[in-house]
Amino acid sequence: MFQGVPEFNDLLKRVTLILILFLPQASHAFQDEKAPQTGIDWLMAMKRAANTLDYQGVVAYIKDQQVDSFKLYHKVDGVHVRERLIAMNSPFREVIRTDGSISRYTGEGQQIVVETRPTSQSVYLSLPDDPSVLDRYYRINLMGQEYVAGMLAQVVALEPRDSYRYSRLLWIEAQSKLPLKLDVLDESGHSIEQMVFTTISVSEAVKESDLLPSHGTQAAIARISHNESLPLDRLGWTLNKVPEGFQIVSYSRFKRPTSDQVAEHVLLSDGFATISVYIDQGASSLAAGSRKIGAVNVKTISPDGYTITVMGEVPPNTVNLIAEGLRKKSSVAHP
Amino acid sequence: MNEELKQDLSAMLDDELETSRASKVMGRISSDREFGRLMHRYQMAQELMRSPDALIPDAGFADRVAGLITEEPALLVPRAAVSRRYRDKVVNLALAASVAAVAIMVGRSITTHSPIESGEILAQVQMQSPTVKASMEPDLRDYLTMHNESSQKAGAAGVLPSVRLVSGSTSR
Repeated sequence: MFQGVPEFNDLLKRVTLILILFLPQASHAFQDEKAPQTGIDWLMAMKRAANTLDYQGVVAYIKDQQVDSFKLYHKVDGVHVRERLIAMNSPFREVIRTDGSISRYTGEGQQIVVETRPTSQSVYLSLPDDPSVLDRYYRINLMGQEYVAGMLAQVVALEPRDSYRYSRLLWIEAQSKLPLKLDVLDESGHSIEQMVFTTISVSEAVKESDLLPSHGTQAAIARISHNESLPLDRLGWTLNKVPEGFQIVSYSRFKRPTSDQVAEHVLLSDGFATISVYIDQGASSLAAGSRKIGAVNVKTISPDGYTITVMGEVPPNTVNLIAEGLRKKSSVAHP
Repeated sequence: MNEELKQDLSAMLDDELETSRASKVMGRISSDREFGRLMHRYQMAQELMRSPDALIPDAGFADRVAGLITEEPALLVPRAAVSRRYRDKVVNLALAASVAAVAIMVGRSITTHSPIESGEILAQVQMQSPTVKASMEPDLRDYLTMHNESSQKAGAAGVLPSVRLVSGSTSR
């Protein structure tokens, strides 16, 4: 009915021309809007991908010039997430995650021991719910793209804003957004811990049998390690020198499996790095001094008949500082 | 299969291969079934040479064992971290498991009356093989295990937290 209206025909032509000219760009702009633009965007996309995709691969873990190799399976079935991580080297080690718990199988002597703990965290990726909180203590920058395991990956650098944390480099696969490689760097920029996938596949179906433990649960010693959470006001020590950003996440006591002795445990975290403080009133096999295990630095001191060990994936000055600042409260009864 | 790759494999089994090349060899093991079988043969040869109780197997023995091992890929490669002192005592767990006398004791409890229980044996498998002993001090190993577990639970352990938990020198 508008055939005879020249103004309408002209308008229609203009609209058509605008659509032809700008629709591809509009579509492209929409895609760009969805693609991660910043380091935080990439971390959030990585967390989302690791939790929602099915994948399997072989990962090499390198620390202290030693290489360990693991096969990883991850499967999402609706709201149910299952994972299996199994060592490709001796001795036997395996981790099975089902809904709400993680079971760790290890070969001990002539036996297989299984320890099960309730947790909703993945064996593959453990990051804060909101990765943007990391921005307060790390500069999170995009560093270009590289190939890992034959796949193009975006490099994301987490550089600490002070000297109390380590730098980290993450290689995130451009298409799937899965993390392919992690490098922890010391104060001099040298790699002290690395995890890298040598193969990874999101297209190959994860079979039911891939997610089952190698040995039936009946064929293992079940070790139940009890960990008792305590209110913070029961802590008989003060931490007077803690770098900014680290906060106490938990305070508990637990019985050490190898000696049956009870130790207190304080866990501090800045969202990406964690530090543990162990307070042991009994005899300990640990002599006072400093140790290093991969990216983990350890400081042991022996004040007032206690053995206190501070450890974490942080530089040695951080564990030394926290150890120096520990003081026994005089008015609080020891739990 | 080229000779250089075979030499790298042999060097890796002897803990004499640098990290970057060892990563490539492991990648090849995971993707090339034939190369994986070659590693099994090398490893068996090494174990037989080291074992003071070595037996001379019949011609089909290696193939039968290789077949069993192939079905248990998790128990194959000797850990690079293991010192020679311990490594010489290693007997492949997969081989041992396949010939093990299995005894299951259900319901035996070692629970004490402490409010913090040390553990409870629900079942037990006896395997006829020694295993690799960790060289780390027991207290340090306990602390590191607890640290890794609680870091993972707190959602602040980064990428592959469980790998740290069960990596060679820290697993118990």
